[in-house]
Amino acid sequence: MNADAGRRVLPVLFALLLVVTPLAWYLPFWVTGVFAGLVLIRAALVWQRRPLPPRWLLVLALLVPVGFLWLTLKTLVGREGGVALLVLLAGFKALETGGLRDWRVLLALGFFLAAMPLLFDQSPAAAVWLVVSLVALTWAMARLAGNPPRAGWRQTATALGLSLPLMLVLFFIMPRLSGPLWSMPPSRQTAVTGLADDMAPGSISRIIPANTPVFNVVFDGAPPARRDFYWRVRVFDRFDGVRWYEAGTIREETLQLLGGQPYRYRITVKPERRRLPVLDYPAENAPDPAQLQPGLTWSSRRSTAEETIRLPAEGRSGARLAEALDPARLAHYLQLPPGNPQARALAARLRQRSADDRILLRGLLDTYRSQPFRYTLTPPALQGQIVDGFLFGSRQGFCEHFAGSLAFLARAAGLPARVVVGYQGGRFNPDGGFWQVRSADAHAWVEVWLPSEEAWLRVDPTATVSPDRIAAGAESALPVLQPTVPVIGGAPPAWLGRWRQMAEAWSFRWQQWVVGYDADRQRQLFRRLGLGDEVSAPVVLRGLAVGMLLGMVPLLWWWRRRPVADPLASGWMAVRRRLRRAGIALAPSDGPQDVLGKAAGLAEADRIELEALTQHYIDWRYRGQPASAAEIRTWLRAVRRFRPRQRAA
Amino acid sequence: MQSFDLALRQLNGLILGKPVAVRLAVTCLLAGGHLLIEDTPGVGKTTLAHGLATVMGLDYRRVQFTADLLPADILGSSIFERETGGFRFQPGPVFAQLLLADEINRASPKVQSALLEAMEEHQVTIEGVTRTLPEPFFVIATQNPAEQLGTFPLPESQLDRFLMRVSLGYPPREAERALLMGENRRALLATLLPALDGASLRRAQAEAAQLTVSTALADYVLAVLEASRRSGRFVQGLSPRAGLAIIAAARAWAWLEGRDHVLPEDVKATLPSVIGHRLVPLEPGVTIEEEVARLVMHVAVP
Amino acid sequence: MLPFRDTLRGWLLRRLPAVGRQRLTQQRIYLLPTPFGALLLLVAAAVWVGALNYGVSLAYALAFWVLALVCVSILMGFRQLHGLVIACEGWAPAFAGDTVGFQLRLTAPDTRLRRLQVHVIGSSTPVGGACELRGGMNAELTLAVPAERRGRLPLPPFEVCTEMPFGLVRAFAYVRLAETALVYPRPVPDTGRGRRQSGEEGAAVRFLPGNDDFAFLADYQPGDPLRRVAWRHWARRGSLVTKRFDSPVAQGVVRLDWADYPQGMDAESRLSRLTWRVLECERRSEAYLLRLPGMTILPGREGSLRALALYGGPSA
Repeated sequence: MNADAGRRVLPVLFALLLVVTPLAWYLPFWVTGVFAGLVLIRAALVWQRRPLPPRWLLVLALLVPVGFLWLTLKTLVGREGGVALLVLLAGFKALETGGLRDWRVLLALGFFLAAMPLLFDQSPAAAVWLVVSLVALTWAMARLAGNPPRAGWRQTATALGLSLPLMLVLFFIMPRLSGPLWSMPPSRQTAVTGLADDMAPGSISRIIPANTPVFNVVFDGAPPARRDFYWRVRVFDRFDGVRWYEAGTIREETLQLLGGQPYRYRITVKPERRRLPVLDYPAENAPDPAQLQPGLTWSSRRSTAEETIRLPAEGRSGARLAEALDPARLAHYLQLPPGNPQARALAARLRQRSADDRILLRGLLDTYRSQPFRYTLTPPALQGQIVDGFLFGSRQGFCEHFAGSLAFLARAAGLPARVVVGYQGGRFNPDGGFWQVRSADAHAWVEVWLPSEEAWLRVDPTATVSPDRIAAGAESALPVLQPTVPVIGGAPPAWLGRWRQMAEAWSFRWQQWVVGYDADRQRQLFRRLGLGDEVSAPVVLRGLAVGMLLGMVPLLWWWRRRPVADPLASGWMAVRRRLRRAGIALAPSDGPQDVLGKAAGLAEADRIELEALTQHYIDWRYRGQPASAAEIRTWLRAVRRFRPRQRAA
Repeated sequence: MQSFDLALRQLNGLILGKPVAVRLAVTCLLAGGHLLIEDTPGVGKTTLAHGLATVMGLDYRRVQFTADLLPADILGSSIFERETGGFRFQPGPVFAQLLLADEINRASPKVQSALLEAMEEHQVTIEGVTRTLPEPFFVIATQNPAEQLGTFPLPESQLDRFLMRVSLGYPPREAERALLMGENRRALLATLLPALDGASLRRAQAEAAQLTVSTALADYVLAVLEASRRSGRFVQGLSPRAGLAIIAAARAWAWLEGRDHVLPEDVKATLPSVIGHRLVPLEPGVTIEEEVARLVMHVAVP
Repeated sequence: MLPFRDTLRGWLLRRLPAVGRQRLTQQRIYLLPTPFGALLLLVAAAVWVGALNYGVSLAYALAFWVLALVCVSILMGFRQLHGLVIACEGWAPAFAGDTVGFQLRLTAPDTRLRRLQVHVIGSSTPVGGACELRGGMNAELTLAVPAERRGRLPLPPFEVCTEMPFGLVRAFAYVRLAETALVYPRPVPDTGRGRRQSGEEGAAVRFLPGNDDFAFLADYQPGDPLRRVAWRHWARRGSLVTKRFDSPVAQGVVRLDWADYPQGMDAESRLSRLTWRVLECERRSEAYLLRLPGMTILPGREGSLRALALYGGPSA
């Protein structure tokens, strides 16, 4: 195999094109375009057996798209930047690939590139495409090794099929990490769920459900109900038409917690911008190094914010947060920028219709129930009158959209209101006996001050739309299908509904067992498999061993199988193999009668059986008697049963 | 079949301890081929040839080949008859059903080639007249390979006129003791009874030639031929004629075994005799028997 | 080549018995990832680390699948060699300085497609070949081993290897077959002596008593020795005829003697020249007799060359 590996390398280029195709949806369109162009040029050069362009030219040519990439994305790291750069480099690598070694490096790069679309999308479609990419890459590998196309397909199918069970075992059993080793730089237009300093509901069109743990909590005694797991971190009290943020003007507060169930817990957390999450509602006397902040939130006194702190906390669940607002603060919590006339009109209408504050509040919440609002992490981006745009336009969004719009409506209706951001929910870890809250649990809700009761009331509009989000956590609420079927005049047909239900169920399972399969799920699976609650290294190893053995089953089956070109010949070969195993030395030059002669030492029954088998073989092979397929099958079955033993000495 | 059993039994009583060689000799005649018996003097070459001729019930002649033998001594010649005043053809010993050519390598090449031509063509041309030989016509020739001086070893190209070459070798100890204590072999020869005649032998030959040779067996023979050509251990590989000879011999052997089809074992049993004189080992100091055994060992049986 | 690898290979080769035919089994087959295989494992590791970090579950699947693929191709590579029977079928003798072609036969136990390469281990020049076993049962391969010195040349240990089916794993086995070829001395032209001896009938020694009686005259055929032409007949009748003799053994015999050369000449030079003369005689179909110290070799190409090849050796 020399530098000119010939047209055997074309499958490599083909596989690369397939692998990179899905990235066209996520990267600037010209990146994949340039890549495809480069690969096609290389394919043309291979086809016409033309030489490669000089290397210095390539380096110069590479500078142009990379520079353009820098101008477009303003970065070459991060998800988009990094992947785009990698794709461009792969394209240019294809153009300077000469020898077999280079092609193999390119192919290995292809395997790496196959992982890139998964950073953007983990839907079943992405999984299907992953399989397609793997098949293409493996076939390219087989072709590159010099196999003819058909044999290459067969080997690809065999290898991938046999490795599938092994892969599944590893997938479910290999230990998963609970948190990242390093963090990915955030990129443009998308946000990692987590807490920011402000909240601009319309500007974010996509949210990545990063599932990194944020803090752990251990309760002394019984914890409150899960639906009361509201961990407050910040309070946003000012809205400028685009974003909600902390005005920082409120200094004095006269808060009072009334009633409720007291509880104690210990929290382990790494503060984000010195903020500490606390369960609604925390006691006012914050233990050192915690410090009470306006809006009944805690912050850390320590300036080196990035160290993990543990502190005991207490609070009251279901308590009433009473506060007497003076006119200045009342005005502060009612302040609104101009704009969003439709929302204002709706608020005014509801205000007129409502007898008291509570009815008014319920009316406001009913807005979300009566209209087809949808909880999704990929809402359309909003511009301009974002509240009107959301309430009367898209009606799709996540907690920020719901909380922001409700706070706006409340203020417009004359009720003081503010947005609280923090975390909602948490997952109990039965092994460690602690609750864990992850970044995907980040949430935003609203607190409305009722003048008649002089107390802040927690209102969560997201719960109205997507109760799952509150009851089971963000994860189960995520797989909401886009409305793909236009609904014309009434409900969709029943079968469509059924289909959609099934699709949602499958989607949920996919989400749960594939995309969301993490350390917790793994423990859950181990428990279900009876591997014990204590997931220690030996348990994992044992599981690994058992699983690997299970994964090997098809391998063993394949091993036993021999290609059957001539059933008679392979059957006879099997007979000879069995005899050899019984300790009878047979040479390849032994004919059937020689075999019979050498096998004279077999046990009587075995010898008779062998004579019968041999006679059939001779009749068919040497006597020219035609054998029907059924006869041969019967004979092959007898051969498989034939397990000769030597006569006991 | 029975008559062949009888023939074999008688021959085994004559040539003690050599059942395989005897069976091979009979196989050769059954396959319609000429037989070359090659061995040192005194092991019973001539006795075997005599015995074969007798039990086969064939009309036979014996010629002791010497350096001064002329072709006419074998083929026959025209003799002037005083009574008729004309020439009358006096057929030579070659016009027998079985010709025993003792010590064939002692005769001059001219005589050898005359005989070999008769063997090949089953006819002889004498003084411009072509005469057909009787059917069946066999030649059993003996020669002593160790004797080099003053002999004319048969050229390789002519050796393959013989279907098989059989060596007797020294008898095993038991057989030799029986030989020493038993009757004189020559006397014993006289007691042999013909077990067959020309007609029954021809029938048996026709039957044997009809035996089934399957594709698998043909493939095996092909593999043997190819191996001989490719191995690089022989001066020259086996010819297609050798392939035909292998099949013919294997058929006759299988017929003697009472089978209606040919097995690779039949090929392997006859192979050393059939190809032993058609091959010359390239490596010096290695006997052809070793080489043939090696060849057989390397060809896998289907 | 890494020194460590050489050491290991040396150790393996020392344990390797020489056999008539070698069946490749578990004990004989070694498996190592190729650089490409290692690279792919590295890619799998990188994808795994990425999956770990970003919590991309499907990327775990990709990483593990690639890992499993490498594992399976180890097995597939093993199956490429497993059960293969390798035997040496023979060799063609050669002269020193040429190559001896050892004929290897590889017999597969089944009909799987196998692509194999065979290399002689430790040869300064690469010696080897590739073959493919497809459907059929066996394949041949000629290993052209350089013959540097006359004498016996054992088939050097060789390696049977394959990177099938994906080039990820190299399966290889070391094989040492008990096969020894014969290498004749390198012929060195000895033209002066050759011409004189064949030209002068008188110098030829009569050998073997034979009745070389004149038999008859035949028309001259191209290639007939000139000394057999009946010149007298030609002078009288003007047509070329050749004298034919009855006895093929009765001819003038050229003597090729060790002692034909000056005393100071070393053994190898003598053997080389004698070899050339044997070949020359063979080419001209002349009878000759080879004499080496302590032995006289009966005429015949093979016997003479063999004697020349093994002269002075342990088994000469």
